Amino acid sequence: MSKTSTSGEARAFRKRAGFRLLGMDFQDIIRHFFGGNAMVAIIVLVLISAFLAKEAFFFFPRHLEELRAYRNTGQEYVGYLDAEIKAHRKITSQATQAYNLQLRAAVKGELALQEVAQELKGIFREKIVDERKAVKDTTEKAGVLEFVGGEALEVALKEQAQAEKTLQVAIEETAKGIFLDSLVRTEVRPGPGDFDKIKKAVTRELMGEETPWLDELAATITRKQEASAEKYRVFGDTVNELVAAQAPLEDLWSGLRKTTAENRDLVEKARTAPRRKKALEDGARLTDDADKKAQMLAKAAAVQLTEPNADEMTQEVYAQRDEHLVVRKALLEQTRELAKKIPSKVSAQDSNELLAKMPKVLATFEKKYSHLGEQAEAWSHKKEIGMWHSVVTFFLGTEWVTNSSWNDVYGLMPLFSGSSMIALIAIFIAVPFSVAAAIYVNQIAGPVEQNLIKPTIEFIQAIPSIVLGFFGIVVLGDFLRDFSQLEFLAWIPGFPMQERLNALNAGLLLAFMSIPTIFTLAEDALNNVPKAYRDASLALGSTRLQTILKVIVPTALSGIVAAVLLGFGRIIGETMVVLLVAGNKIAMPEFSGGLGILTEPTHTMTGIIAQETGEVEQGSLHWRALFMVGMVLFTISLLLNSLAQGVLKKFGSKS
Amino acid sequence: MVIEMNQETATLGDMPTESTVGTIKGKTMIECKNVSFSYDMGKTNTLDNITLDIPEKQVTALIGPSGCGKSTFLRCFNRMNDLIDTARITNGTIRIMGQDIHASDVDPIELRKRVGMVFQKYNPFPKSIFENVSYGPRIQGIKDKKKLKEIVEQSLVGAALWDEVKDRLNSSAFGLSGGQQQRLCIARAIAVQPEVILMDEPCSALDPIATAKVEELILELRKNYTIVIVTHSMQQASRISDNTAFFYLGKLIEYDATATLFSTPQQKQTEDYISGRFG
Repeated sequence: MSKTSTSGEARAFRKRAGFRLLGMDFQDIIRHFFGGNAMVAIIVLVLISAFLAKEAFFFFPRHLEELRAYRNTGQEYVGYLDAEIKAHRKITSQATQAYNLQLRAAVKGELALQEVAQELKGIFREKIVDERKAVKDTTEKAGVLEFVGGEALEVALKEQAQAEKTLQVAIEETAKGIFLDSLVRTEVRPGPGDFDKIKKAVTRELMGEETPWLDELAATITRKQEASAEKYRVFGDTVNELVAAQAPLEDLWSGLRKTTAENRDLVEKARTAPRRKKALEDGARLTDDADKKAQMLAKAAAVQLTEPNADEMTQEVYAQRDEHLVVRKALLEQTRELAKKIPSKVSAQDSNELLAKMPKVLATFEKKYSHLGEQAEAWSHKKEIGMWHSVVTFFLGTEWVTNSSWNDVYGLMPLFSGSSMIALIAIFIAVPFSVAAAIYVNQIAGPVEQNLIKPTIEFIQAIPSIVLGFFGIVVLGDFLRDFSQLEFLAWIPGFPMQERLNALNAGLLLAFMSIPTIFTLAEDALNNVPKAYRDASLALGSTRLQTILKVIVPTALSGIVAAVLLGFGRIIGETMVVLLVAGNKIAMPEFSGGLGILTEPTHTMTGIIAQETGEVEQGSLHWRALFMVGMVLFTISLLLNSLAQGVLKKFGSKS
Repeated sequence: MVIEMNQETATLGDMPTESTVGTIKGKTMIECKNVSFSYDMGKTNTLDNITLDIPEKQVTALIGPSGCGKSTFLRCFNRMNDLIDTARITNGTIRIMGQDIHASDVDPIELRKRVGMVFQKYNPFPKSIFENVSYGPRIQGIKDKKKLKEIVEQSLVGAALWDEVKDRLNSSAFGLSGGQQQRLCIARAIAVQPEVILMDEPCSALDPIATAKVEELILELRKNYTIVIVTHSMQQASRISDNTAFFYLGKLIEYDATATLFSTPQQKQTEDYISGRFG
């Protein structure tokens, strides 16, 4: 066999000379371009994670310093006092409320009549608005012309008289048109006799005449209330004594609070001292003015660099501890005594409801109070605070207080619970809607419906979230509140709502926002179910519904679960809507209120970052705390995403 | 009538004016009279004026080149064509056990319980073997575990699969080989105890050994069920069927006992097709 020469036939498959750049031909350049783009995405992600992690994790040492300062200045001890007073106030407010309701109940009928009179007045005024304006205008004119006098004044006075007459006629006319049915606002309906009297009195008042009946009514109210107060004198006195009993503890508290707050200032000053000193020295170096230079240097020398001594700072606290223990014991005994004097039953119904809860309130108080007492007795500024404490108080802390003159607290829980509450509401609403819609569109709808529904739902994604938030404030909030006030819906927990902007409102909007995400992904999952399964099931004599529920949905279930998880991720990361609509109240939800917490205003992790980052000093503890919150969000999203991918991988369709 | 179809490049000459139907022995199970069928609201007919009777407890094979309408015809018997919005029978009647299956008082769901189907590509559900077979009985409302077990065993025995899978009834059906999966589908179809089993090229996705097993099974099943099978393989038709119908361009060309049709075809087109001159 003869060999071919390399220069001969084999030339056909040699690389041809052509465009080259840095030793790469065109194909290579394109390949590297795409590869480079993918690489950039990964590098950016890594950089973001690293940056977040770096900024966030330095939070804990700084947070620890803060916690130590809180203890070393004695502020912690004052915190116990504060909590004691607050616990006691729960009792006093409950008792005071019950007492006031009882007084009110004594004059219930009269108050209702007064209310009717108010409403009637409103109705009248609405109807005679023009006439009243005419009287006002003419009177003003006459007033001005008084100084001029002459014919013009006479004309004006005549006009004024005319207007007043018209007004009176209008009032009389209006009075004829107002009946008992015209009342819509007041809850209590007066009898026809009372109503006539009220109407007459109101008419007289509007005409500027005396109204003995209304005056009489007011007098009766005062009289009856006094009589009631007399009847429940013991109750009233007890309430007053309960409030008064707090005074010694409050005095002690305010004194110590002032001292410890000053201590805290010292600590803060000491912390910034090196920086201030350096700034002054730098300033002195840069200035040309000799006088100023000397001044600055003197100031710099005067800056104290020594840290304030914890023993000295807490001296005052220890000195007053014995007194505190005595005072608190006295308060406890006094409260126990006084609690016995509170009647367990009075005549007013709503008042009784409050009184029935009294034993429970007292029990909670006793428990909390004794716990605080133990803490106060055992308190020592020398107890060490470990790093784990810094971590735990951040993740499990139930308060988030910033920019406070007393002490800042960074606890994630109120934000976390707000975020999860909203997300849960949203997911509970969104999942049935979007999954059902996906099933309908994919399995049941005809081509016309498909072409209508799919783009419509997918369009929701294109609505800017700020617009949705705006809608939530302007439309949905009012609608929900009015809706919740319908009487036959009162059984729903949390209804009627107090606030327009709350977790439910935000949850509804987020549900709306997440529907396209879940819908699209779930629809894809259903679409991936082979048509052969459907045919096989139908050929076995199952109905369409049986086929969907027993074959198609179970087959697509992993995809649907993944869709829900990704939707959840989208919800928990959403910022603008919750910032606008959730109500932004940083507080732990009252879990004892059951499902009613869903209609409370709340704050979220995303919302707090958006709201506060712009205002904090870079590198401060607050700044780092916000980064930590961001870190938590980042972790949640990461977990949800990998969970979704895991579900798909593990249970994904096997055909 | 114009028939627009995916025409083969070779043709079999002029269409005969009438189809040749030989004498078919046995009691009639499915009776088709002048059936025309259209996929597009009657604009063009995919099946044109087909009249043939399928006897009880025999295997009837439908053969013909691709696109001749034999699968469409098969799907008429359990009204699977209803799933296509624009498809409908434009003329004629199909009676199964004497009942017009397109009558207004016929429920296609009930019909499909009596007329089972096995598809070209084996399609077990992504469930366990047991769940696959018990799916049909279960949607018919049988909840008793013992009864279900009985049915599953009977069906698997009936489909000649029991010995191979009895130890792993609860493992996924996807773990079986292709031939086993197809037999599982047959077991699934007979679990609802149909009268008729329609098979749409059941062996086209199987290797020769699996094909042989399925064919063996079909011969076994014919004792109890009426079987209508669409096949591309003339050898298969001659091996397993009692009667054969030859379709071409939506028309029935010839229908006779298999032995007769393959030995002495009456129509020239049939002869050309079975002798391999075409197709």
